Amino acid sequence: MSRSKENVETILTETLRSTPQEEMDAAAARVLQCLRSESPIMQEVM
Amino acid sequence: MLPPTDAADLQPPEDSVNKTRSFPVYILNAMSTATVSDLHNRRLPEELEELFREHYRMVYRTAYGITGRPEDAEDVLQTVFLRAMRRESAIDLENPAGYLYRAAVNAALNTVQARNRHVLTDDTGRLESAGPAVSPVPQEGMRQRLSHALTKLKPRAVEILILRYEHGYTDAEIAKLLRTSRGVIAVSLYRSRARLKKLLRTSWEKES
Repeated sequence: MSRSKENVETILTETLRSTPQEEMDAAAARVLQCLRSESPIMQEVM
Repeated sequence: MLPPTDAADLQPPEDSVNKTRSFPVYILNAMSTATVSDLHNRRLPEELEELFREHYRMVYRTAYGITGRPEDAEDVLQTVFLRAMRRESAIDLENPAGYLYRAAVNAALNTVQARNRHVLTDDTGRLESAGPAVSPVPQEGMRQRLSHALTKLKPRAVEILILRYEHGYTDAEIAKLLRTSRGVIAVSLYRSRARLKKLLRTSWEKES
């Protein structure tokens, strides 16, 4: 087993904190759109 | 940044269109029956939309940290806010971030556990045909190995780990969010690291 594999702190730090920002924002836009499509018609906004 | 509130501006980027395949079926059905003008007319309750804009990053990053997969993180984000919208579980208005965070951790752990069950089922089939040399542990790299190990911890321990290593919170900040003491957080982190080390070592040994 390599030394890095021994150090779980290193693994956690290196493996996590790598969320892709653009992917996250694109996903949020899609989810928001879905939430709106699932929402009861609230009001005529325009 | 999240695009503007107008539904017309919220079309997914072209390169992400194929990801709709990962959406739950009921969402696809809802989308297929909604007309464009429906989408213009529909608005989320203001407070829910505000909640989404304020916390979607935290929910997504939490889910991504646990599942290691963007498509799963998106599903979790959707699930957490759909449940909130349908009032399937009451949001703690005094601590919405804590509520959403806990919901994200639980949904993400359920996702990984469901995935593991599929892998184990598949591997059982292979075991029957190929004999005992086939390992039931998913061989998907460190990310997936870690996700698998996280499901062996208690949800509370995962909450604390992810706040520390994914969100970069200090012990004091975690204690404040989860309404406990710094000592409890420090002990939990220590035990979780020890448990993870054991689980990961076992996983590597099975592989080699």
